[in-house]
Amino acid sequence: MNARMLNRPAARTALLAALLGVATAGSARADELADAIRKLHARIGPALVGVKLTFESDDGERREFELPGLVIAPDGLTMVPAPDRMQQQPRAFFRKFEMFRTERYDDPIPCKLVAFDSIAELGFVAPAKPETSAVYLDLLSAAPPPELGQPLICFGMLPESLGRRCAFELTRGGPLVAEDKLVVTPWPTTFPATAVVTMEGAFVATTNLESRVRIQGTPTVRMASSLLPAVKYVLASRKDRPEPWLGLAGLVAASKDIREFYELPAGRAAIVVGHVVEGYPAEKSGLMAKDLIIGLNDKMLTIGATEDETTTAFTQAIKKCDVGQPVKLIVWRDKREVPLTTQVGEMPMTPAKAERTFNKDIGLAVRQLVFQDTFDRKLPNDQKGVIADRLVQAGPADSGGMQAGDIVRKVQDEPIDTIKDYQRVIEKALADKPKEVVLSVLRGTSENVVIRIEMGRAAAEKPARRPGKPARPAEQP
Amino acid sequence: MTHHRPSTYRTPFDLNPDLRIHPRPIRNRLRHRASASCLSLVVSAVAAPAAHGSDAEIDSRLREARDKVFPAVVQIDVHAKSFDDGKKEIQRRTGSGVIINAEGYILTNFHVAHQAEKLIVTLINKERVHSTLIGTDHWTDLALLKLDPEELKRKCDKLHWAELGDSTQMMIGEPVLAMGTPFGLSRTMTAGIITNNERYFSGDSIDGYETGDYNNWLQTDAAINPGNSGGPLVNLRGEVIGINTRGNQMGDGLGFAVPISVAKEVVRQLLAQQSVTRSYLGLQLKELVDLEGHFGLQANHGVLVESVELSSPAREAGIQEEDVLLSINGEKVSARFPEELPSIRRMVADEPIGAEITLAVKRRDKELTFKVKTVRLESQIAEDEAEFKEWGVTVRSVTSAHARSEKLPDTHGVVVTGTVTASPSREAGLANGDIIRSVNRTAVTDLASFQKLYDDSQEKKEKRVLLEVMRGVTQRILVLKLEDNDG
Repeated sequence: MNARMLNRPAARTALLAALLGVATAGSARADELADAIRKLHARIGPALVGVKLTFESDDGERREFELPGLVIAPDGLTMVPAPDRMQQQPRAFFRKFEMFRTERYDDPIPCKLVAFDSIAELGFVAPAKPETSAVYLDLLSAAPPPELGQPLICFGMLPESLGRRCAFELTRGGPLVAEDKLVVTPWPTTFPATAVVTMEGAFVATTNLESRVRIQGTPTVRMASSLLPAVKYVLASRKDRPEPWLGLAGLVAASKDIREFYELPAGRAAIVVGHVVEGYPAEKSGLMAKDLIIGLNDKMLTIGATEDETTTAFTQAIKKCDVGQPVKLIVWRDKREVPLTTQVGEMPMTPAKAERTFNKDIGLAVRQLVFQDTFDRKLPNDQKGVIADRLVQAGPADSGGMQAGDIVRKVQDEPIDTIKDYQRVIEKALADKPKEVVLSVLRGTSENVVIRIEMGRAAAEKPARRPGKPARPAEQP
Repeated sequence: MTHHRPSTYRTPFDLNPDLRIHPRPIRNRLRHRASASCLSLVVSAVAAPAAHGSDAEIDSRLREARDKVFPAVVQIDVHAKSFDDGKKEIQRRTGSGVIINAEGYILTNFHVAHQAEKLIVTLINKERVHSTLIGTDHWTDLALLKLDPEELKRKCDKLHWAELGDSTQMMIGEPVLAMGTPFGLSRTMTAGIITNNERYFSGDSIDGYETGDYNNWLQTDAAINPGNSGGPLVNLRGEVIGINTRGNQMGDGLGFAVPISVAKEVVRQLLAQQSVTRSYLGLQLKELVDLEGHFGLQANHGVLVESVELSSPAREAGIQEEDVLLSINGEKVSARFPEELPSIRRMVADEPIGAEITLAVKRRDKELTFKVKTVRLESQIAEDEAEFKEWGVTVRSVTSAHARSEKLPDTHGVVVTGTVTASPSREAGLANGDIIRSVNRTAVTDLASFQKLYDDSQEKKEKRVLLEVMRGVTQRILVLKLEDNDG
């Protein structure tokens, strides 16, 4: 059976009957469906891989888990779901990636991390030794969103204990939620739906791990359209995509009462701006806190099905832009539309990507200060120092009264501007095995605290404090 | 200690993590205490320094002390405002107090009397007399009340009052009596000794009000139970040497009293001006124990200025964090241990507001002198919490201390302390800690201006009210939808 055959009414009827589990008069027709599945199975199965990840925090706690991967390029570039909480973990903690092909339990392929994409919530890994003719699924020729009720096949990998075999389930397209999430009915229950394809084999969506583990949430799969910008970027450049940002915080959809109060024409949506970050594009455009954004690039905002959808539609639209691309924000001021123009900027570095260092002798991991640290605490953008990220429980720094979030400004009276300074000074300070190390830290918005760390006692030999939970996929079936 | 309904049971027992409330049924609690509070124990405790005299002598001294102070001990039943989830409620609690002069002034605790709407005092003759709140001081957890003179004349022929002693002379091991009305059980006396005379608790608060920075405590093993709060701790000369304030329900025989030397100054100011003023410079002091080597100091030589508060007089004068403060107005200061800090803080606090204080500090190898003018000490939270019923919200003013620590541009606006479920405020998305900066685009400067804007809006029967709010770094626009005004 090929794609054209499926378009024939007879083939569709047979498929429908088969999907509904109704016995059809002609078994030959049912065989047509089986044939189609077998062909897709043979084509997609080899592109499915299990990606085993070893996660190790700087104080030595190790975890291992396996993610469902999909090979997307001939060199073996593989896409895995990477939920936000996973990406919030320091990059340095992702110690080892290995790839397992279907039905190959003792033949791991060493891999390296290529990129994370926080917008698409994807990770990309590739074999350390690039391959040349790996079987892959071409995501760039993805299908348009399926029609409601359109037959789809979910392919996924059974767990390690079942030999990582490729399995499938038949389903249908349900409602599309906020342009990027699709409800499929019935929901594939036995494995993560790594590749959801049309009967013709065109890629439609991939698993949404967050939605699988969140029991109360309605399970959804993520549409190709929301993955493609990230996939295209990584295919072309093999590195992290810069995250577009306008420098806005505290965006809230304007309630009906607010819209009426500002006399916005009925049916118009608006987002209230909570904060405009100094030095970023929104501020340069003249946008101000408490402004109402009502349109982007000549397209008026629409009222979403939920309060969140109004704002996420806007932020997603920004995130689909390229850094440097000109944009027009339409703002409602004094009962009229005011256009403001600017160029999309880049999101500042996140804590996960910040450079970090762990010192075992004092039981303290610090990292480079990033925008997020100074913003929340109303500190100057050029705040100097390094930030305490994790402490070994009952270790010297913890016992000395140090807290996570403290910004180290001085060590033994030497000023610390950058992480390089810190590494140099702490190494020098500890070189002659001192009895104590004294640090000056900034706590909260403005308080200076003097921390005396007593050295050379046995206190350091304690179990490590549990690091923040890494990714949830560990619990995957 | 106060005693009220268990569900809203909030006393300074939970001020310190080590002194957490351990609710026990009252009956068990009393049974548990029975042995400790019987007099025989005291006799033996007092008998220890046996050189002072025979058992008979001690018995007579105990009786004399009792007779001098006991008639001045009162029970105080309080109806107090309490703000919970955006509503004002009236809460009942019971504490103790002691009459301190012929005019019928009563010394008790801040946590007994604050926010009181009605105060009923039960005298030794079991008559109940109304009294008014003269003033409170949360920093020392003290309050001053005055018996209604007319009612007093009718109900009491002879008013007894207690003499105030000298708490600075109280040494560890000296016998003391705690008097009060634990759990509302009238006229109770327990006995013990001073078990520590320089106890210090740092960074405490009572319902959010800072406390304890300016005083040490007398610690005693005389039984102190909820309801004892505000009652006197008495020496064997029959003088009040402390105001019983805290106990520890987890421990045994751990009660704490504010020394009367601290209370005397508080009483003087409350009598004169109904409030206590203290001078402020913005220095956060820290004991130097184990840090002397780092700062190149000899022991007992100075106190560390750990932090200098933003836009405070000290910062503006040029004092820096990690300066070592050597003297205040020429008088040498030193704190090796935390319990030495309150008296140094008082050297600044006791100066008149606006006084110029000379501070000598050591900065690395240099000694520097600064002259700094004090300003009035303010609390993090204001004591003017109020309810705005139709909007379903309670707010208080923004103090300069709050503005400083939150890095607010100024003290304009009011802070939201609670919202009522399903009220216009809650529905609009108002949250605790939000600062309401404007109402219908008119700026809110303080609580009075907010009250006026609320009253105006109520009078006009407005159906929609636009609020501009600051929440952390972000600003919000909220609309209150007043259903009741719809008709």
